[in-house]
Amino acid sequence: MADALHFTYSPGRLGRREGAPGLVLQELTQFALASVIARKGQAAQAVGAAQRAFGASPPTTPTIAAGSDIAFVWSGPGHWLALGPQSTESFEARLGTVFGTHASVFDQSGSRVLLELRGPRVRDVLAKGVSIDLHPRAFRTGDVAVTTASHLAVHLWQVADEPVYRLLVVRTWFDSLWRWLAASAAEYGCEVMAPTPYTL
Amino acid sequence: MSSRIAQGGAINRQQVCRFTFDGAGYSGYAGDSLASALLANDIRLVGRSFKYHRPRGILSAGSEEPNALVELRSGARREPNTRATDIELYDGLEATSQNRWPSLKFDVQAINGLFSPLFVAGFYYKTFMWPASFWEKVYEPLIRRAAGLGRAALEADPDHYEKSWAHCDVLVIGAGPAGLAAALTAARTGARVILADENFVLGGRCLAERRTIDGQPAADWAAQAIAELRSMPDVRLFPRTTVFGVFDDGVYGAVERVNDHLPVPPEFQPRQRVWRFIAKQAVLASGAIERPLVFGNNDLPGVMLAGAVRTYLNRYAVLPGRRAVVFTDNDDGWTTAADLVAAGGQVAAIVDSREPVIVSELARRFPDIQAIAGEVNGARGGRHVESVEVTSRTGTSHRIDCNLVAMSGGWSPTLHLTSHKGNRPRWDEERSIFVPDMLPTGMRVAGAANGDMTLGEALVTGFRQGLTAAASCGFSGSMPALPRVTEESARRVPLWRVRQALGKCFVDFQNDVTTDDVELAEHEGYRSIEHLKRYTTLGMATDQGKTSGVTGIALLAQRRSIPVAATGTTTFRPPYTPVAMGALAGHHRGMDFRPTRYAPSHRWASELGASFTESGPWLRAQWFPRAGETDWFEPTCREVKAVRSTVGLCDVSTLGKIDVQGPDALKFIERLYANNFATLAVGRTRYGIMLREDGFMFDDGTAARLAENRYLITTTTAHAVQVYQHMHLCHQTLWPELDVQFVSVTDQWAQFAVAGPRSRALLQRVLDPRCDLSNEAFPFMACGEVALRNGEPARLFRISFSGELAYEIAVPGHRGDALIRTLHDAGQDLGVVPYGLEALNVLRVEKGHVVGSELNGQTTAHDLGFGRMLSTQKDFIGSVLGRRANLIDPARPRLVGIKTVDRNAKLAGGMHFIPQHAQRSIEHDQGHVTSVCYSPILEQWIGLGLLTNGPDRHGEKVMVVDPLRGAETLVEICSPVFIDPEGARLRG
Repeated sequence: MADALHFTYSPGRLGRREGAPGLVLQELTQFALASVIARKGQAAQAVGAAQRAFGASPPTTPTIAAGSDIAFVWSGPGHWLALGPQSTESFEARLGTVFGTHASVFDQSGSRVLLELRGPRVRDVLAKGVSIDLHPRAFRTGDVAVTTASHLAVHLWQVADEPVYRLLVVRTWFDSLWRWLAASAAEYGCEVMAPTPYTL
Repeated sequence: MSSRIAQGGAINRQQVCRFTFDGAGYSGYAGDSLASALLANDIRLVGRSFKYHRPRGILSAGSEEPNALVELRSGARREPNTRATDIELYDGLEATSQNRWPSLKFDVQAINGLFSPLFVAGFYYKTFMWPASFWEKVYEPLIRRAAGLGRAALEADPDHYEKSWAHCDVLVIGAGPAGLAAALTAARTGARVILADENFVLGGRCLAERRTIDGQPAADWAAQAIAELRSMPDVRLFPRTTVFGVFDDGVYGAVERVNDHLPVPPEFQPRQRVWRFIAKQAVLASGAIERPLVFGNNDLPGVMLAGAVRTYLNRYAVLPGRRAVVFTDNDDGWTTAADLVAAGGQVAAIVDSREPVIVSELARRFPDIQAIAGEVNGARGGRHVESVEVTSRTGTSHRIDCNLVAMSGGWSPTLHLTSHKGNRPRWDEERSIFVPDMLPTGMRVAGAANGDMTLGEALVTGFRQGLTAAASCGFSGSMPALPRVTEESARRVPLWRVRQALGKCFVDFQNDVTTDDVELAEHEGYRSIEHLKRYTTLGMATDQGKTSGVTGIALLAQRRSIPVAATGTTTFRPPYTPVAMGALAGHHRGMDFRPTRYAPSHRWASELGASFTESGPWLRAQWFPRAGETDWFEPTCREVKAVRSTVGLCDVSTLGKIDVQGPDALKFIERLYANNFATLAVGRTRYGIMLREDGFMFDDGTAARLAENRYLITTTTAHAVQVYQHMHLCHQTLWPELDVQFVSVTDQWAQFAVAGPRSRALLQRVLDPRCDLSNEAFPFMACGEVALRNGEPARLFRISFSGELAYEIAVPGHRGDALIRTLHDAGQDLGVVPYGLEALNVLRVEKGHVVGSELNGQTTAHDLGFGRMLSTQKDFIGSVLGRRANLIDPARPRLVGIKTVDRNAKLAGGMHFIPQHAQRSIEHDQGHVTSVCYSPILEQWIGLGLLTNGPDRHGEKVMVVDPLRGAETLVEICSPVFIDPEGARLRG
């Protein structure tokens, strides 16, 4: 039946039960997200405006730049995802005020699911669906990739050398990504943590 | 285990593995292959041949094996055509011989051999020609029953397979002496190295030969090399991993048999894993494959490749025969004689086809063995070789009793991977081998794969190529001191076939292709090597001619009296050895075959027991049955009536949503849409149509002007991705000067239709009371930002697909579940009803709205009644080509409504319009029915269709005909808008 196919995120242990889990997985919730696209010829001004307002310079290479409470995830030339904590204030409006005529801002807060992945086998798990090289010589803390995981479009970035990764995936595709992730981590054992509010 | 040698070998005698072959129990040791364990148990007859059902044994000791194919395991895990020579023995292994009936020892179809003059090359083409009516009903089943190899399992595979990626600087393919040497020098520079070998033990022929490297056994040297590699953090070793293909940009396909050496994979582990190795450089060190010699009955069990004999002796400690005859055309064959003697075997004779002077020189080293300069004419024996007939160069004939023939026709470089990108190998006349010529970008070749056949050459070229490959990746190192190795010689004078043969001489064992077949094919005009292959099947099937290809080419060359170089070679393509489809599919099978997209209300809908259907990648609710409703019809009619009388809820989040901003946003959408948007005010929505460049309809939807320079575009669910791609193509290539920014926000907004006379009442309960929904404040086609009662922001659009007073309300995706529950709860006393795709479809047919069935890529705006919407005030995509005379011809099939004249008659989509009294034939075809439904409001079947001159024929009666299912009925042509043509309800 269709509803039985709807895999849901639930804390607990998946796959191999013995030993320490190879993958530790946690959903990060309560974040605000927006696409920021520089207007024509305004990329430098947009970067400057963000630098002044947030202390973070939206990167021009595939990296992430974090300011006081907002991080900019590179998404393409003159194109970023702004990521911040959820608040009652409209994230889109707050960014819109800062970027003014330098960039267009599109609220995406409800469009994605954000996962944090760590554990001794995290690279082996990701390698089963992510084609890019995550070896420390090729991908380091702060690096961002706009790529696919199990054929689904994702943003992937590294937040710690341990390594710890964050994976941003489109909400309506999340169940399929989840099924792949659970299957791929099963042989190493996977600990699913209770969702926690997003922090930088 | 009568043939097991008392000592030595890379087997673990402490670990006994019990296994069955054709139901009988045997035992071997860990480290055995199935083939070595069978030989140790004196099992020589392993299978029957493909065409003649001749008894066959074990020819080789590797993946080139053409004969010893078995079915491995049983039940759902049964795997046909596995090579006994490749299979790692494990405790509990079950193997069954294949292609025999009723038993391996007595095979009824072996009688085919008696009729072999009939079963010549092209036999099928010649025999099963007439009559043509027999092809499918008689001949094909007959051929399929008689031919074929093993049987696939009939049950679904219970095991899990997966795919993975791995990156490296240097990929080394093959872990024999050359591969180990290459991996060592590359890894010592600090480069990231992957070393893969198809065998379950790394070491290649280091394990199979009694040679020394720096005074120590080659196997020990290999073990040390592997230990060193294993200690390096950026080296990954992949035993049991076949690199099966070379693809673009340094991508190599490989399959790792993770758990094929266990009866059942451990829980949570895959059986096999397909790797995509992405390598900056690769060193191919895949070694060489020995060629059989072509003499009479050379396929008898007990006739074995000489190198394979050494593998069984030295690696597996198995004596494949007590009394052997070695037949060779090269020096390497003599090594086998020496190894046989060293292992306690008896060598009755060495037969060397070369000049007597060479033979007598070599014979000095073997004073106790009879050396004959001459040929083996044929082997004799029933199910196993019992003797050979030998003719010496002086003309004397001997019969020599033996139960093993070790034959060596020299070694062919295993260069398959060098030609996967379309390069063909080059014939080296001096050494009589094909060698790699042009190579795929980034690939180098070392050792025997490059024709450097001796151990010393393998190590030198391996070291050098590993170093060069690493250097190409920016890593530097130095050549190690070259190790001292046992002297050896690869001298050879090729003997492609014996001059005087006794019995059938097989070239391709797996396909039962003999020298006679090659000659006949040539005689009949199949002179190209590609034609020879297809006519005789030489080089086909699971082994792809690994042991037969070169000999086949040489024989054809001989026959045509042309050089081998001029004969050419067939192309090698991936995979190198067969790869299971399951491994290629990996995780993506069953419901994971492709991703599924769930609408925001999915959980709520499934809690209500909704029935779901696939709609592109989406899973959408199609109806919400209530207790007692057992089919689709009842709930659909009920849901439609509810929308027309009270209020319904439907998840429409699947529609594509694209947010367009920037100073040139209007200019941009004006060029995309065919109708006018310049006059659209902020806070208003307009229906829009897009054409393709060729003037046909592309998509329809709405554009809502949210702010001065901001539009929210919606697309159909089906075309969401194409429209978004189209917009990017237009912006990036046609109008890069436009200052416009847009992103897909399909996932950002969970959007629900609230439709029906009570929709306003329901929304007022959910929205902030200050929100004025009156016709004056929020008229038809209005849009704007609103707040929910809890203060959360939402967007509201007054648009209607059903023709009723209706709204669509949108909240951020993660709030969708909460909103649909709030709406459903709040509307209970209003009679709120969730409705699915089926009701949605009925509602839109009743209202005459077009969807994918009408926007089928072949219809124009004029066809669908949108002709007057096309703007004449502006240029837009499709405007020029859309004006072509044929596209605006009123005689084109155009949109109409239809209703059955007999109110009880049914309609089916796809029925054809035929004038009432005309013949039911293609000449009288006037179009077809695109959409049908039962209208619970009109209480009859209605539909939409595309009819020649349609809009001018309202009131006419036309037959609709379904010739496929033999149905027809009379319909009346009418306006496609069945309900409320004035639009009073939706403005209510």
